[in-house]
Amino acid sequence: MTMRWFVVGALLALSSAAMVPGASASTKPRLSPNLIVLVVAGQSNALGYQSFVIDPKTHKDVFTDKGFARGPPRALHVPGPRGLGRWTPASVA
Amino acid sequence: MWLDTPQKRTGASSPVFGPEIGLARYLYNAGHKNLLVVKVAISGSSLAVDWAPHGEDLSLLVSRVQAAMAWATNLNLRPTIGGFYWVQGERDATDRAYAADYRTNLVHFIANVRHDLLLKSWTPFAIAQTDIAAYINYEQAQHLCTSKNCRSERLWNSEVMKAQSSVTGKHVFLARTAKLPRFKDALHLTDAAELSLGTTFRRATRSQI
Repeated sequence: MTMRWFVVGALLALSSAAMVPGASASTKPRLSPNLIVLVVAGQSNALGYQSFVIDPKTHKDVFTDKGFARGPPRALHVPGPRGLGRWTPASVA
Repeated sequence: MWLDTPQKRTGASSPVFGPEIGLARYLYNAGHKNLLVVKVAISGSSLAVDWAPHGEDLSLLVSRVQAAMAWATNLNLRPTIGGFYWVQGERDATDRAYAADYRTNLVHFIANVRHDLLLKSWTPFAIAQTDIAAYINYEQAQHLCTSKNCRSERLWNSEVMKAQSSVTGKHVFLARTAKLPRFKDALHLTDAAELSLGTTFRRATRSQI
């Protein structure tokens, strides 16, 4: 059975003032802050494939603390019928 | 800005990100300080099946967005969906029937998303135009295509790309990805490409956010 990956993530950017409604000494009731919600959906290019954040001093990936590797090997060198639904972690490891 | 939920893909050694980082950065710098990104992305999913009405992935999307809206409301915030960003099509471009139906399915998907997520009629819907031409070239070199010179495969890819551009309109926008850099697998966008796509999304929808 094909394993499918999914990620449901949330990225939050709020000013500290917005996080604490009514925190000021104002006597007037404060309006709730607006929040813009952006919805991203789709396949692996929405998910992201492989990320590198390299420390320019150490030349290491800050996520893994390992030396920077070049691009991954071909992900689709796997047996089976043609199709993009068959990716598995093993096929890109 | 806090990245409070780094996304870890199953089996991957490091977190990953998609176009949302570039998009959120630009919106933040443009003065939109209160942002929440909700992402539901499933590798290898098809519009024809997985994102179809009552499809597993569409149901997941709706439930996750509703949960995020409820969470924000409970924090005394006033959440409004500012834009919807769709990055999908590669899977459908590898199947004759899926590709042929892509335009019809996409029209229905946009309508379903607008209905189920209670989007305003003017809420921007942005589509990343997929292109697997480079991958087909690889397939041709490896003799993996089902047709001579990969003609069928190129046709399916073209059908999906045309469908994506044909549904654009006043509130539906297209962001091209054909020229963006990809990893050696010829399919997946690099980090720089993901940031660039996010910027394009921002430019496409800025007049309405």
